Amino acid sequence: MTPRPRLLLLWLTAFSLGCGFLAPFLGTEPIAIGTATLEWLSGDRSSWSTDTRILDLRLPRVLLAWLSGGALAVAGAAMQTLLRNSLATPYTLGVSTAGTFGAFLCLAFPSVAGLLILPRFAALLFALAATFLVLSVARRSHRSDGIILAGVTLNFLFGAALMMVRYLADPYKLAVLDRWLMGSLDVVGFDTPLSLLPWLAIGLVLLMRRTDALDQFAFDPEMAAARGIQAKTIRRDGLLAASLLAAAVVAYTGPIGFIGLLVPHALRGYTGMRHALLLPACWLAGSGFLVIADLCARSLEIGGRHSEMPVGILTALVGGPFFLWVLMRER
Amino acid sequence: MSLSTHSLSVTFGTASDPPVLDGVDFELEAGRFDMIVGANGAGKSTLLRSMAGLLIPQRGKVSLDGRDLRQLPLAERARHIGFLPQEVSPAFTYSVAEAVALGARVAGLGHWFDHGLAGAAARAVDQALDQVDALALRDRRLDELSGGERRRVLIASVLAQQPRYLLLDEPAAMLDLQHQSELFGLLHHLAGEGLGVCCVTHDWNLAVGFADRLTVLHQSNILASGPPAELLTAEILNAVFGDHFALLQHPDGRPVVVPK
Repeated sequence: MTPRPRLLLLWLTAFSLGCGFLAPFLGTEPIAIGTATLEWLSGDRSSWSTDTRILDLRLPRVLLAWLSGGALAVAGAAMQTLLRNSLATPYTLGVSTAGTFGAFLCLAFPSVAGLLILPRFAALLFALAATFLVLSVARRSHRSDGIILAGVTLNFLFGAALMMVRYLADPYKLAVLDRWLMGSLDVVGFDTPLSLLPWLAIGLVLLMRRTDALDQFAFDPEMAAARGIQAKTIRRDGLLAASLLAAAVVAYTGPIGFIGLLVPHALRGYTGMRHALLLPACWLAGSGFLVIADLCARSLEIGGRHSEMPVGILTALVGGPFFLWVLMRER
Repeated sequence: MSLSTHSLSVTFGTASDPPVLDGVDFELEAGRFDMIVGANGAGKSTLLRSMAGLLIPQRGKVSLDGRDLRQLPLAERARHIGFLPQEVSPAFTYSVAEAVALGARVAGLGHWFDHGLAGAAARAVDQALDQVDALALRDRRLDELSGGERRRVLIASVLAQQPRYLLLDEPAAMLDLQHQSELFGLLHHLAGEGLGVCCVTHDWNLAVGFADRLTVLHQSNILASGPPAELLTAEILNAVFGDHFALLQHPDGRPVVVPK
């Protein structure tokens, strides 16, 4: 654990904001920072150069990456504490597959989905419903790992339901469905990232208000209870808050894996298990990390052309082997 | 000044299940070292957990200096009563200082930013570690310690709460004889400093050697309670374990339990 928490946060803030500010200017078409920024700030779209138009396209995408990366890392750290398992991810309780199922329903059968209108609302609804279902099953189970087993089962269940939707869907829609599965930050305009903000704010505030309780719970739930923490309540509320963060991100981007595992794992050695430090540090590192991952994904050249690869593929390719490495060396 | 149970009854499962504790009256006074013994399933841990406020009794109540424990705010309860469960298994890596600092935070020590490792909190951590003779372990990792060292650090973490009553569930389990003896010596010393210490143990001989008062739980209630040397008789042993053990006399006059 670092003896200099302020310095650590300072470095991470510089990293996170640095990534956020620089990434829009980098990529397949590098942009002249000064001119494009001044033109963009002037707001007069008719006089924009090509550089500025590209910048305008990239900015919402980078903002979405910044918000999603931070939220997934915080959700992962909280999930690991509350499930007392350093290999838990924001999606362990089935949030991701349930959310994807909701989105698939809307995309494949717009008439059936009816009132849900937007895939992202359906995704959010199903992801949160899955969390409630897991929590209520776990409450009735006498096993300590009941909650993880319920989450794994729900993942299988919604996975099968996903396949069912794909099987029944119009073959012409399969490309759209598959694109959702890959997890992408491809957005147009600031509406999407900005409408994600309230969900993330609720989840973050709920978690940051209980950092003391999370610290005690992480050490030992029974000792925490004796120390005046209502262990069952903090677990339920914390899991709901972490799931809300993950569900909101899934609803807006599709599943982007492994950030929630990778970032907290890399930081815990420096922050210790003090959540008032760990959670902000995770936000800062996670946001910067996903911005860089997305920059790499959209800049990668495959077969001599720019791939514009969905970032979910890249994070899974990097994160999967990392997960296995952690699994092998964990004590 | 005491932590007491009054006609305490606890049942797990449905109301028709047999009670684990059935009308238990027990009093832990400040400055006294109490040990609770009994066969497996006698209700020892349940009594201790009830006294820590972790279980809601079906009947009766637990009171702290005359006040009903359930009426006490949780944070205030934690400042008076320190509880160490039989097994503590952190799922993450902690340094010794971090583990003890978690206790100091209950006492209101530890700043948002300093991990409880600076200023008054750091002093409280050092003092608690010093009390259990583990100051040299301060910067070690908790998962690298031996069983005995780990137990001492966990007790320091509870001591850092600065409680007036210390409840420990089988603190000597899995410790070798020397570490058991050192641990009970330490608890006896802490009681001498004014703490009310109560621990559950399976080692009757060490209990007789160190406790100020021994309480025998049997079939959901207290079979006997009093000064160990007077309390431990062949009849008591017979009632708890049947005719499998005998009592011998230690050279210093204490009774010693041995298998027949």
